[in-house]
Amino acid sequence: MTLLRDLNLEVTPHAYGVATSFEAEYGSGGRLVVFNAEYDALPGIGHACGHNLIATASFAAYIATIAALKQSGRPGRVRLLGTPAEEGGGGKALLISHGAYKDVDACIMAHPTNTKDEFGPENEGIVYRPHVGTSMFNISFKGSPSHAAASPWNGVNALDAIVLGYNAVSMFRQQMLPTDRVHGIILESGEKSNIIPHKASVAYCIRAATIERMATLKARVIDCFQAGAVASGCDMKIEHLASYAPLSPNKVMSQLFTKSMAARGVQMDCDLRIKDVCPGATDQGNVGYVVPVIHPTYDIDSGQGNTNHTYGFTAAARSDKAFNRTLLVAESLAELAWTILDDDEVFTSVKTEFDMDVIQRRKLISEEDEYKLITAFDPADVKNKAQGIRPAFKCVCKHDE
Amino acid sequence: MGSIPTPSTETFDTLKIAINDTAPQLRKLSDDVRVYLPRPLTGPATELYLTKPYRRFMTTPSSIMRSTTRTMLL
Repeated sequence: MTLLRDLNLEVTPHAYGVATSFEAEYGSGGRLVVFNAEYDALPGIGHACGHNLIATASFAAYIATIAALKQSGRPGRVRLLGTPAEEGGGGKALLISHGAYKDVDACIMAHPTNTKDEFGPENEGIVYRPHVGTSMFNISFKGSPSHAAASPWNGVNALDAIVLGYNAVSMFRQQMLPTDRVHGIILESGEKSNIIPHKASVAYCIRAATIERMATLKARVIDCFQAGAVASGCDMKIEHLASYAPLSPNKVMSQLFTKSMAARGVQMDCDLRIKDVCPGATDQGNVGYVVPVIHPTYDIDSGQGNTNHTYGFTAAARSDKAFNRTLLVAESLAELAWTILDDDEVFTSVKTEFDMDVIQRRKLISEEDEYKLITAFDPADVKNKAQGIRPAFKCVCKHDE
Repeated sequence: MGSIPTPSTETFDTLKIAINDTAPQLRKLSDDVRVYLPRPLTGPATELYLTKPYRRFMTTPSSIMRSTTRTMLL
């Protein structure tokens, strides 16, 4: 924000009621393109996902697009939005629910990575790369304590609910899709072996390639634990945490960005046939269900084995090479933004693709369920919204009463 | 969409110049970006630092070693 002010650009801190967000906007009339200045870091390993470069790329692209708007005198608006807590906090999901992307025509950002390690030494990045979605949630069970030897029949065993649910999920794995993932841990399982465990909880995460599959998978996993609750006689409570929707980059925008990078001497991969779904998740995926988005991944020469979330990647993210590549990426992000603002035919193509995707999704998932999956729940509001995705049958527990 | 349009040379240059002119400030931003991360997200914002140097960069160039052993900001 200091740099924006130094450049005589207005900036609004704490944008949309999010303490660690900010917003800057320039221009008038026309279409509105947003650059997500994503920032976060990883405990213990710092900028191991290159968020320092992500924020810089969006910042640079914002400045450049302003220059193009000033030079042309054409209508159009560009916005820089500070999007915090990508590494599990779901900052963009919260911003969506607070209206940050209302009336936005397209949203742009780029992400550094190590595609050379993954796809060969010549690979400079993958522009069109869908990502899986993920949804995190905690489930707690409440039973009754009792002496485990003297009067176990008076107890209601919350650990049993977990064991039954865990095993049900394990059986369900045979019917899961290859792109489905379900993983979790037991958070609490009792305090002493001579007490029937009356409190137990798990933290789970599901991943799937499409948002409708996310909804189905999440509901099935919750069903598994619901079965455990019913069998053990426990009450069950679900706490929905952040959901990262699958990322579906806009194909037209991806092609434009690829062409722009090629004009700058960098040949990036942009195969629009889905051959590979990135197993990682990003909350830029959530934004993609509200407006057309792009999320190209570009290589920063971090070296063999130094993939994202490693110490080596942290080191590379601070190198001159990575910085210079980021500025080049920023030029193409700005060029893409400018084209969307300036070229009616291009924008029509971008919007048509987005609208067609919405029509296809509505055959599979309702707008209401989709919105629940892509928006964050304020902790203070969890109780009201806690049943984002309902189990297949009505919950019989008394916990929500 | 038909053919993918190519922006004018003038626009191409404008974008490049705008970024190049700001490159020193952008480098500083990239090096020193500070992250305020409340946990949970809606809690009070706290600036988080990782102050101890990384000691596992034994295979990285010394110049990178030096830069990464500065105060790393989360």
